[in-house]
Amino acid sequence: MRLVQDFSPRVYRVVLAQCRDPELAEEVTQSTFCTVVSKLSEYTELGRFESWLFRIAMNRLRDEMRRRSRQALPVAEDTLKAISPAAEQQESPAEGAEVMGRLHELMAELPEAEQQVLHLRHVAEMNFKTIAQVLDQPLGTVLARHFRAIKRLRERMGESTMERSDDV
Amino acid sequence: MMSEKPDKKERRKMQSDTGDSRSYGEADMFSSRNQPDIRPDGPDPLGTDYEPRDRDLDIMVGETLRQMPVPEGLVDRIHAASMERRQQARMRFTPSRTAIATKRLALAACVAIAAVAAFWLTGPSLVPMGGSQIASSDVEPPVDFPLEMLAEADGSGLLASHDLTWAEAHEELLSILEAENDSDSWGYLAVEIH
Repeated sequence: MRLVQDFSPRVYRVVLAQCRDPELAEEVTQSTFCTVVSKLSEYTELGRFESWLFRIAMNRLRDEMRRRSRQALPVAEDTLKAISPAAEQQESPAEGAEVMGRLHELMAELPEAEQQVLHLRHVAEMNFKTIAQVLDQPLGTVLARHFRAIKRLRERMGESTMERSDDV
Repeated sequence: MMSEKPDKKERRKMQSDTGDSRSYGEADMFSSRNQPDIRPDGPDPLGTDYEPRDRDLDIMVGETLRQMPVPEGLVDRIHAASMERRQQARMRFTPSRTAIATKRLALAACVAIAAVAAFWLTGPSLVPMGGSQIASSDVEPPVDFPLEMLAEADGSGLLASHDLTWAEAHEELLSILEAENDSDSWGYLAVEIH
């Protein structure tokens, strides 16, 4: 139970951030934990459990997306509402919330590989080394993707928005 | 910090030397100096190549993503599904008593069959050899056997051996009779017979 309690919300959020479909995210999360439970006896502590778990989740999501022939869709308004940071915040006139909404939208436009790094860093709360293990990529590649993602976001956000958000 | 960075000329030279077409910022990011301090847990602090605005943006990205709502009861649902799967896996790997008994019975039958087969192939024969009849005084000889020759040669000892077939006894008898007619070998053969 502790395993599910500790990790399932993070796994769910990472999957949701990528597929932007709450139902699919829950399905993938559930499937991931079912796999983990049935394969826990086969798990050998070579690396970190966390990276093993998230790798299963990422593979499951990829397979499911492939099966459903779903590609990363541009974010629709209703989907954004479903996954957006706290609906009540978005409805409030606060500029910060607006910026966050905009940021969410822009993140969805990033290349998938860059999004993955951002999601694993901030949602799964992983360090770059673990992200590299999960994505099976060299550490340098992961760092470069993060760097590019931030630069791209900053360009797209525009200096003015950033300034405003700084004030908030 | 800025004073550590090479000037434009040096940068160009470094890039041309290494055949690196990336901008200085990108190339510098991969140097060991700029690798983030990797902590055992949690997101790493960003390297020195990130500007303060980038760091702010990174923080904001984190705040935005972490606020994604998790549906109510998610943990319970996932826990229930996991337990159900676990139960199924256990049932699949734990056979019933009947299944165990059946397997043991089948194994015992296999062992018994193997033992019988091994005995059949390697054990002593229980039936008389072939279809040929053993020459013996207890058994009626074939119709064509020259009994008068047997009496003449005093070869009753041949029948006592129980090792010869009637055909072999016949041959032996002929040899004895031949030897009787040959004075050289009769002396030796007479000793053998008696």
